[in-house]
Amino acid sequence: MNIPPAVLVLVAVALAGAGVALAAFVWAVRDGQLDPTNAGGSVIFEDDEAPR
Amino acid sequence: MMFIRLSVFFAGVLAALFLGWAALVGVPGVQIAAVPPQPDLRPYTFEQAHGRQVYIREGCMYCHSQQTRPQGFGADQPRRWGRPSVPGDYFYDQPHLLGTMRTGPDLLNIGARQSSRDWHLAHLYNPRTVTPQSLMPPFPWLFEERAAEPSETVVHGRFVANRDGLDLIEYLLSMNRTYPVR
Amino acid sequence: MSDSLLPLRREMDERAALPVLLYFGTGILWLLAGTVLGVASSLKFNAPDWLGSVPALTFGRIRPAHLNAVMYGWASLAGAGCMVWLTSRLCQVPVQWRGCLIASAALWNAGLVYGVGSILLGYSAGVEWLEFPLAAVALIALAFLLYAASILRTFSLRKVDHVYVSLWYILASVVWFPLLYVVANLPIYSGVVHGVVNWWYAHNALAVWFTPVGLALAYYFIPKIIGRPLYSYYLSLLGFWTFALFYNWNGVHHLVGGPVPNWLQTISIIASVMMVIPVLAVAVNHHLTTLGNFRMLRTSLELRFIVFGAMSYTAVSFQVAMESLRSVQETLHFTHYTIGHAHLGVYGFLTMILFGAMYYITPRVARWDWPRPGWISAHFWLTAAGILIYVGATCWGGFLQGRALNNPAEPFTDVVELTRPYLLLRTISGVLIGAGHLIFAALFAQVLRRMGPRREEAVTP
Ligand code: HEC
Repeated sequence: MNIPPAVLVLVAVALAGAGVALAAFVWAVRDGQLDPTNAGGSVIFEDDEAPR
Repeated sequence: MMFIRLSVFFAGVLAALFLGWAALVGVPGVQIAAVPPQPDLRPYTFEQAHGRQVYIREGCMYCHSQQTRPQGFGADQPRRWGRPSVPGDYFYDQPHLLGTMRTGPDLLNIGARQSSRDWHLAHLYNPRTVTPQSLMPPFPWLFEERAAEPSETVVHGRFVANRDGLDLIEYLLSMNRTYPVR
Repeated sequence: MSDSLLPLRREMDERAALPVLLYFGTGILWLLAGTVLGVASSLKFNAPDWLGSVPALTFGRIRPAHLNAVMYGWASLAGAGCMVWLTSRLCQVPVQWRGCLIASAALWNAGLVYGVGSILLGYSAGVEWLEFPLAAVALIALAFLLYAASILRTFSLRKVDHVYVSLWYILASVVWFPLLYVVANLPIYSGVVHGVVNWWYAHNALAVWFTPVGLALAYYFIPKIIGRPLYSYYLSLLGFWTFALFYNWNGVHHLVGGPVPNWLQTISIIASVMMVIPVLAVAVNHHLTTLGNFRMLRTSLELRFIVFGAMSYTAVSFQVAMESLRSVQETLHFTHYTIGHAHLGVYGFLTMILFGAMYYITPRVARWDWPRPGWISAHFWLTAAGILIYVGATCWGGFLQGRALNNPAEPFTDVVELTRPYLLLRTISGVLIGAGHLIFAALFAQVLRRMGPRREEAVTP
């Protein structure tokens, strides 16, 4: 099969990008930057305006 | 904290946009930019280039595409709209006019399909005089009402094409990518 | 509920009032202009010779004028106004750098008048979604940067520790859009590369600006109005990153079958299908948060618009994933189906959410309530019915058109004839939608002229 060089470059770039993204994600989780995650959803009620 | 660091956030956001750009524009840009024009493709003459400007101005692109699909994908081939187009066919096109609508037929090879100036004149003045079912707009402002020279074609008894109309037709007639791909 | 924050809320709304109402008011004017241009474009299909001798009103000019007026005019201005208010609320800081916002609204409108005027007078740049001449582009880019500066400034002074998911979308969009807009408008492309840049842009304009606006609003208002947090907040963050990653790669599915490298079409198709992940994340959140609270759709007119919008988002996204497949694209490409799809996204999703958000925000910043609730309901039903008929007619008509186009035995004129009833239905639905817009504009004018009841701040609205 004849794979165009453009695709190879692209795959390399994509893999590198994915690697960096994964590393960043792992680091962010370890660093505690994302917890406690689900509580964040309540922040919109902090302006005290009553829902209707 | 409940939010990743701002610097990381913006780096991620920019990286996402950049990756998309690299994949969709950067790499193919380099690949396609290396493609030379098809040897039999002519650059536009002054008149044709002006006609192309009229085509843009009147928005023909919103009803007519300029790209032909391969055999087995749609009916472009059996309809004889022209062989599948290749990047080298568009070398001189700036801006591109590939189009995304086919309210009217594809025009990439209209010059080969319909080479009669008189047909185009009558059709542009009012498409319904030629094709009663057409819903293409009329373009009477590409014509003027005056005494015609003997060499000129008169439509509807008293209108002759002006510069814009004549050049637009030059452009339409130039649309001919029927040469073999090399 | 205690209301110790009432003074702060008052201050935030008061400071937001001028810029927000400026964006809203001018946005509504562009909505009306865009609607007239849209209905007129559609009518031209039913009666091609109508106004046929006026160059500025030929189909090929008013159709792009319609798109630009509603996208860069209506949706962008109304969206910017909503984002300004929402950023202030989510950061618990009054809007900063109001001068920037007022200058932004002025420049934005100047760019629009210049750009839309240019198209009508025959000076279009000739690229779909990028028809504006460079001077208009420069004005709008500058206006957007001023808007972005104010948003970022407000954000930098935030009093709330947590950055809510809506803000993620807002922050991303203010850095994404100017980059995309400027890069795509550079006058350096030609040939097929230009085509690729064109659709990379046109699809991404939705990804980096219009959709983030709609999602930011939906993520805020659905839980806010219902009074219950998002079903899964974690999922919304995952949704954000997958959205950022995949949406960017979609554009070339507009050129499937065309003269672009095959591998490029393929990755765009794959990315379009991958969009199912972020879409599901959003859908699960929106619909499961709403679930069990449907009776609120009767009492809250804002919620009705927003939930309609969220449902359209789910529908339109699955449509994309399916539509980008080669075998489907073979039929639907180049037909009115694409137009129906675009309207389901930009109208059914974004515009309906904008309506809902504006019904919520306007009385708060204007400190005056809507005068006639019955009219709001009429607005909802006219536009909801209108857009459903519109999408139904163009998608079904487009499907039949595509099948006929792909049947070489069918003469082209027969294909034209076949679409006629659907195009007529489209005009009719456009008129319904337009009637809804007139009601909306009239209501907005009445609030500005304080014709309704004064807003009682302290009690439940
Ligand atoms: C509203 C959509 C629309 C617009 C805008 C439009 N056309 Fe058409 N065009 C059609 C339709 C429908 C047909 C097929 C019926 C006919 O021949 O008139 C057609 C047919 C044609 C044909 C004949 C094609 C053939 O294969 O026989 C040419 C040439 C043409 N158009 C040129 C133009 C030019 C040049 C412009 C801009 C100045 C333009 N069209 C604008 C809809 C449109």
